[in-house]
Amino acid sequence: MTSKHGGTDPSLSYNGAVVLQALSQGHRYGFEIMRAAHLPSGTVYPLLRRLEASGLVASRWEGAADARREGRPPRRYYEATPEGVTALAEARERVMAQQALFGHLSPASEG
Amino acid sequence: MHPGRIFLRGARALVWLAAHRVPLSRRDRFMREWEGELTNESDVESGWRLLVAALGAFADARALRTVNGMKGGTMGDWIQEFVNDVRVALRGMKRSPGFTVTAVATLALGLGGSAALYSLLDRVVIQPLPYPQPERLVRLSNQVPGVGPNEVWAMSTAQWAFLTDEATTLESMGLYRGRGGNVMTAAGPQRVRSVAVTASMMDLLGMRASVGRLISPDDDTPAAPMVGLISHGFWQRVLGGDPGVVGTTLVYNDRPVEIIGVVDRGVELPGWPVDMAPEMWIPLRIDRGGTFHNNHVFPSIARMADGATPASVEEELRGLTDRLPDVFPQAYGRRFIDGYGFRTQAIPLKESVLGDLASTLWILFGGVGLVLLIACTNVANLFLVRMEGRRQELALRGALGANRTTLGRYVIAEGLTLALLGALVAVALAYWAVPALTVLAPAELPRVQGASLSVNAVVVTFLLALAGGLALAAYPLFTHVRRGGGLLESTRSTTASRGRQRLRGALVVSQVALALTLVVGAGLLVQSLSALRSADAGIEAEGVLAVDLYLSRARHEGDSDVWSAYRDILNRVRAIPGVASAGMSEELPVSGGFGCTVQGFEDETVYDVVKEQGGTTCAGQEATSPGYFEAMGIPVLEGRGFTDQDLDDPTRATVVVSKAFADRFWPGRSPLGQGVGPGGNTEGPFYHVIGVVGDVARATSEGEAPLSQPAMAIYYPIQHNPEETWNQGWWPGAVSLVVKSDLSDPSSLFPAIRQAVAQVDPEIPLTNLTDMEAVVAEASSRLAFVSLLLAIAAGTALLLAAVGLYGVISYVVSRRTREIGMRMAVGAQPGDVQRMVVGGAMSLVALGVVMGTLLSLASSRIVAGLLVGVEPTSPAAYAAAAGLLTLVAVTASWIPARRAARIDPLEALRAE
Repeated sequence: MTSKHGGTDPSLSYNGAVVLQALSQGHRYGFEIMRAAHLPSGTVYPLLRRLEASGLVASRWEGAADARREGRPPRRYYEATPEGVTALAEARERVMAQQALFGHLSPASEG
Repeated sequence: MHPGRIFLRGARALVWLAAHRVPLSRRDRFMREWEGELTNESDVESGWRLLVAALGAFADARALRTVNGMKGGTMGDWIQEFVNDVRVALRGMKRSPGFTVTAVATLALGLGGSAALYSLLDRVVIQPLPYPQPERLVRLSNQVPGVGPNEVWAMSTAQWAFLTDEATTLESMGLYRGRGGNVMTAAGPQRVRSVAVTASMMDLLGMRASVGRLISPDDDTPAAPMVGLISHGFWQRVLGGDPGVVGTTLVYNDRPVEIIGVVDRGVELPGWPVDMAPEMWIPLRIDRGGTFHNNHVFPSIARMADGATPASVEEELRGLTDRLPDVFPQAYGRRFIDGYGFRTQAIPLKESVLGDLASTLWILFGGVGLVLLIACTNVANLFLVRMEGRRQELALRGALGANRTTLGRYVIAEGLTLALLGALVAVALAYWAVPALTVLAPAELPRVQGASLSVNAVVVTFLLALAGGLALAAYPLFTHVRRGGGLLESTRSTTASRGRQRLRGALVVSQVALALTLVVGAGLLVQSLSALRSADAGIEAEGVLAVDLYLSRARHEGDSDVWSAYRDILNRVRAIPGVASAGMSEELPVSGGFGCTVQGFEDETVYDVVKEQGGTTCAGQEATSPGYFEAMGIPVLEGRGFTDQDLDDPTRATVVVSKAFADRFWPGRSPLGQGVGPGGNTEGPFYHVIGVVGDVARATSEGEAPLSQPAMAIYYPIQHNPEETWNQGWWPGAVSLVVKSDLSDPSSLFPAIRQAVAQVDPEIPLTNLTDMEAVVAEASSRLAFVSLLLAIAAGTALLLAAVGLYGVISYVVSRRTREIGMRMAVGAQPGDVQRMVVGGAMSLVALGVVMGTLLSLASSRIVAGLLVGVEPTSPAAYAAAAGLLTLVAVTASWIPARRAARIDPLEALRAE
């Protein structure tokens, strides 16, 4: 497990944090996350792979019956693992701290 | 189409392309994951978003590789991709079975033929001989240009004794001589094939004894008791596999021989057909201290010393041969060695065993190679047409971002898949064909019997298929793929590009040219064969039986006793109902070599004639009985043949000569009454010529066309075998009893003949019952075999060329339907259309015929060695081949032409 690809590395990337955040808000698959997080597809999909490889995210196949009801192929749904939730909490604290810092410097951005 | 579906399709195409960057093991899952991502969007805006999202598949694929620790573009990865392409190609072929079956069958024909022929080549030519250190074995023999340009003599015992002592370039040297022997067994007299060998042959041939021991140097001296080895087959067949056989005694040619061992199976004498393998091996027992003669009757093989080459051996032997007159003055005169240019040659054993068979097989392999080429051009044509139909698909793939490598790899995969399928079928074909070939092959071909599909042949077949597959892919690769298969181009369907048209034309031309070359070759061989078959062997073979018999020396001593036994046999045989005439001779025409024995002449002016003409006084010398010329159908041209009275009184010393003999030695004179001395005897008493008979064909030595040369023969009376003094070891001499019958099945006489012989002497074995028609047919069997194979190859080539031409013309017609319809609409008659189509085809065929003729002329020298009575540039063969090919081509193009003439103008114009 290399630091480059995350793992237990505390410095979860900003985009990684955003994807985790989107997952925690209930967005469950790539296309949805892309739209919710306003991230390009070329970022979201590789990120999901890396997060999964480092154990912060787990995936499962949607039930075939559910997919059939909606008339489409089954999707692969992602969710944060407990480690992912912890990492997200840490990242959120970091982001909050940074936001607080930026807020002091530039009050205008807080509106 | 709903706009949302268009976006969905585009997105799927992108994912599909991206999936090709994912290792195969993960590809299916990758595709499924992305399928789930792509939902059917109804509006254009989200449709675009979907398309953009799908672009993420490429980044995703890259991430997947890095996460799994895989580097992109490794060899393994590439192969996996390739395997997938093959799978796609197979699916595509399944969808067009017509194309697939035609292409695979065509390739299989070409490749199968190559595999079968290569198996033969591999077994016969490429594999080493089954002896230890085969590359160091040579055959020693003597060239005697003074006697004749092709005169090759075997080795003498004097040479053996001298060279084994003196030659440093030879590690070991062996002599052998095949002979027959009579063996008394519980089941009566038996004839065995035996061979007398020097002890050194054991080691040279790598012989092993499965029971007992081999012949040792101690056995191989005149003083040693007579011992013998028997073959496994003889042990089993004649002696019932008796385990206590070693130490027992067998009466062989009236002498007791102690059996010392049984030879292991699979031991072959170089150049002997497997079914003629020796049944008994006895030591030659050459007396090193005795007197030596100039008796060149022993074939020899030798193992060269380490580092020696045939050239260095010959170099050393030249010096040693020069010393022969000093060492053996009684056997070799200085005048003989120098005057006749006598020299000893060392030929690699394999070369000597194979003779010209190697080149014959290579010629056949070349013929099959041409068929393969034609098959490949045919399939290339099919492939081209198929690719043409798929240009839109290729163009679309290109437009969707498949790069050249991907497309190229795909096209190559298709070509290779096709070729490898062909190779698989070909190997199956060859597996069946090789044993069939060995059955067809004449028994005299060395090493052919028992050949089967070889592993090397399979490897070669697949290599050829690999090359063929790449060649198939080459054209589409360089046109469609390199140009990136522009979408624009794919819409031009009516005006098929000139380049492709030209290529197809070129393929047809080359097919016709190659096929013509094969048909010319086959035609020349068939012409030779018929010339050979109708060649006058100088005999009337119909209804003539021949059987060999051997008199025991102990039971028939002296000339008069031998003759009285023979006369008795002949008279009893002539009395059998159905026998028209009967006679005896030492050797049979056509199958016998006759040899060349020096003759002496009473009239000294004959020597002046010889001096003037060059050459020597040697001729084929045969011992013959009364009735022989009559039974064999050899015409008496002048004087008369032998009568019983001539032989009853040996002092009458009569002799009969052949026409060629008379013409050479007494040109312009009657030979009747002339005196001749056998074996070069010039002292007398002479034999006086009583008759001249027609020439007969004799067996020929290597490299000569069979039946091509009449024998210059002199026939001595059988009661007094003039060779006897030379052939002490040869007694009892073999004679062939020749019986002419007017029955429809002459072989039904055999039991009566056997009975007649047994009444004279129950211990005479009869062997080699044959009929002369079979003997004559056998003489041309090798040529018949080669002709048959080449005719099959030529027939296949012709068929393939016809199919190729038909395919191309059909295709052209289908592409020109509209144009033809238009012509007919403005008044062209069906006949005009037919002429136009056939004419177009004929211009290609004409060009092919011209090129094929040039190719045939260039390659005619290759087959020249096989031809008899036909020039390699025989205009008849070329004209016949060109005519045949044109006829086939007209037929092949006439079928699509007729279809073109039936085009309904209205339909055709509506179609586009």
